[in-house]
Amino acid sequence: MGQPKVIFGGKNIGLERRNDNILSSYSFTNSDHQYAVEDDPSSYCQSSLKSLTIGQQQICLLHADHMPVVIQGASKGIEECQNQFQDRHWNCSTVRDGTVFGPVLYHANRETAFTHAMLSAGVTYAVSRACKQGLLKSCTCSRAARPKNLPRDWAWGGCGDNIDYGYRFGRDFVDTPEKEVNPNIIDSPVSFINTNQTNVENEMKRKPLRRSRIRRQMNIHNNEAGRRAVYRLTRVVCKCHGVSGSCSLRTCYQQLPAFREIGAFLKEKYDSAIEVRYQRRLGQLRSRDRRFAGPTKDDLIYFEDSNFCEYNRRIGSFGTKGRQCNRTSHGPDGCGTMCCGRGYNTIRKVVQEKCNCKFIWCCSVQCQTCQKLVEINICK
Amino acid sequence: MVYLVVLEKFSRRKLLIFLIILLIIQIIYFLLGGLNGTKPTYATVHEFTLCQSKADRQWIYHSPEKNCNEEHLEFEREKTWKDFVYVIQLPRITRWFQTLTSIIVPHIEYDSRVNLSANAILTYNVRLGYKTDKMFEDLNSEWQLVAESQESRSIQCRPIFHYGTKNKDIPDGYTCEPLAFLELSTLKYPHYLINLQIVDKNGLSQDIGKLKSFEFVGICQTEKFTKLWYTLKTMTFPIVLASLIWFCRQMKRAQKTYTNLDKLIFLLGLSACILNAPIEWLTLVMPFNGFQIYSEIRQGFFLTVLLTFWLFFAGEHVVDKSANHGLFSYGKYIVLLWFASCVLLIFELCERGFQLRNPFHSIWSTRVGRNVSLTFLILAGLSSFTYIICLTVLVVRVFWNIRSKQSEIAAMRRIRRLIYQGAFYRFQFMLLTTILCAIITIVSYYLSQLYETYWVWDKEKPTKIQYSGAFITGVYGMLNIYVFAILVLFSPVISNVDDMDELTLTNDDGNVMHLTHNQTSAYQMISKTAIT
Repeated sequence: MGQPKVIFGGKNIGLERRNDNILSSYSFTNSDHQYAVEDDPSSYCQSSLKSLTIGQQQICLLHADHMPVVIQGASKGIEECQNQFQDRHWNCSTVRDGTVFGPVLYHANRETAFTHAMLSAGVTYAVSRACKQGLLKSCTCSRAARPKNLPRDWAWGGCGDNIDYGYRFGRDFVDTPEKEVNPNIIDSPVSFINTNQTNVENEMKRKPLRRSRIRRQMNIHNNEAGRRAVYRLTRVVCKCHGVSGSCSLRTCYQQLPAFREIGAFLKEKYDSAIEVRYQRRLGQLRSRDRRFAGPTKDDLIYFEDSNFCEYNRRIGSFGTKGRQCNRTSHGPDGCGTMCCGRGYNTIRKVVQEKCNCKFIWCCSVQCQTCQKLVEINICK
Repeated sequence: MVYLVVLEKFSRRKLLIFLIILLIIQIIYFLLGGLNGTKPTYATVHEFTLCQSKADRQWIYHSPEKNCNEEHLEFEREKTWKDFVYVIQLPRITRWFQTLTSIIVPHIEYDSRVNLSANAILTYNVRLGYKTDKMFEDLNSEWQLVAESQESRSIQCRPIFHYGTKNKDIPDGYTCEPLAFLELSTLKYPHYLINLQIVDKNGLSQDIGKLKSFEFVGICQTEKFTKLWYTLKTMTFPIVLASLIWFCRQMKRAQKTYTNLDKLIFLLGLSACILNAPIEWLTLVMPFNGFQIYSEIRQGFFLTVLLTFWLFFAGEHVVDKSANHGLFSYGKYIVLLWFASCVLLIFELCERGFQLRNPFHSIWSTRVGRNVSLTFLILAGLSSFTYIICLTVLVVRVFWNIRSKQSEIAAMRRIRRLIYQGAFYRFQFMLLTTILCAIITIVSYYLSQLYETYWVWDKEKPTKIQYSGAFITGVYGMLNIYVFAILVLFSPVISNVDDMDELTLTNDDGNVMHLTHNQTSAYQMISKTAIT
């Protein structure tokens, strides 16, 4: 945990497993906009961002200036995910093997759903915001030099639709890998149509094939839910500007919510996520519990259960061993729940801390240093 | 000589055709605005970029060359507000945008260590610079100063809380009220640059919370709508002017002296012409600062004249009143009405007048200004409220008057009956159309408001009709049609009945009846009945 030094990745927003050094140059702090996108987008998209899928590389070639923003958005999503889940069994921990979340993304549980939604929301949010700041060339608000062939009157039109732009770009970019057909998968149906002898093998192949198709569908759904969260929480604010401030003329605009709100909203959706099954007749994912219709486009969906109590590399669970817990709390961060009944160790130690600080905004802080005895509970 | 009004001379059939034509024109007006394809005004949202301030540089800007070192605000950097500049460079502006109204929304984060006071005052120093297209292409040119000002605004923020979490005391952040920022009444130059610095010396800008950035919302008229609007005005103007000239000619031809109502009808036509005169075209060639004031004053003038006209019209139709109706018999109402208009005019002049010199000024930002303008608005509100009550009372009185006569009508002599019926007819006609207009205005207003606020999620099927545009052009068309109809229908015509004395003598009680100048209508009816 800690400050996510984001190696942006995870197959499902476009980075594949094989790459270990994805975007290694793109570890960045949050509000620093000083990306230097190389002048040559093709080398940038293909070598620096190797992990993009073919479809994403094409988007990258068209909109190279979006990539730093996308990375920033994804990291914002991760940061917020960790903030929302700091006191849960699964704490949105990232791994350093280039896939960010590790095997979690290859499953189909609630956590997978949440991560997808969060990353997708992060990208939509960041692109919308960058659009508003004039950082993107293809967004109409751009403050970059206008191309010469642009019609003269196209100066401001459509500039208020930052969120639309972010939504559309997010959909195109984040959903692309799910829609692209993996060459390995294309091969297999051909092989089992031609040969009748390898029936057993085909059966084995077909099952993961269907699973992956369902998972793609689920990912697309959850990505959409994430983007919708941004839309849902966007406020419409209106301003009257008629004669003498009367409301005879009124213009409305969209205001992005704080990203924290989106995180909190999606966490609610995580808690009420819907378990789905594949309905072959409709080719759709329907709620497993037949009493409920749905899921709606705003719901998160999953079809595998998960347990993050014990260490399990296969599903990407680190277990809760070694996590801090709160002895007095009865919530999810309480030691009973957090340690899954295994008990905990208590450590007392003296630490040096900054204290009696005087914070002045903006931007200085004066502190003293003092010693303090702290008690830490750690799960067995 | 006896004078008639066109309204009464029209046969039912003719009147119906006339009204239907007007209705069709009205619908065209609505459709023009609605099917124009763009909203009448557009809000563009931008975020200020935070840059390092440099002592040796007067302006910090983004383009043409990268002059801004982007910064972000964090603790432990041992810096003060002096080291930062908020920069925004507006996209290219054309004169078609008419005016720029803008607000800024502060983004304040929650931090338990930083205090946000409920009545925090933010003070900032802000400068507006411009470049022409030519200067913009020349990389060596420097931005030129348009205005510079130090402004104070009070920050009002509400904390926002999570969805159903236990931590009720720790908000996720704040939503803040927008602050009045910049009002440009003329857009002379295509490129504008704003540099904003927060002033914290001498105890200013204290307890403003963890202020991170500002969002800039600029509101302009869309180019397409401005073009439509100018065209509409240019086409409407000669028509209304022609009807006004026609009205005057009819007056002259009928050799009728102007009565109060005639004078007001003339004034109404005149103010409509002033309103319609497409002087806007001039602003494209040479923008001048006072145009917005002029434009708002003529709107106010037109509305005041219209309200005065209604008052007179109702007043003149109180059939049996014995007072002579000089201009001053409506004195108290008129005074009230014009007082309200003057108050609004003064307010307008104060608000916009200051902005001529300093476009960052807002009358609402200082306590004194706020109180004064509130007083103005309350006064104007009160007098218009009284006006509405007076008008309603007057209308009810006319109705009651006519009603009470109606029971007697059967017993009346024929001629007198016709006189009452004529007055009643005119009055009802006028009242009905006025109420209809008012209803159309209110309904279309709410439709446009509702539409604006309503979040249209289904982006695949965008609505074809822009209600807010339809509202503006529709109401504009309606007012013009209204004025046009009055000028035409209430202009005098020479009648062939000329024995006035006979009629006045035929009254039951011998009183001379005062039916406004529109007495004529009765004669017309008499002549008609006499002929048939």
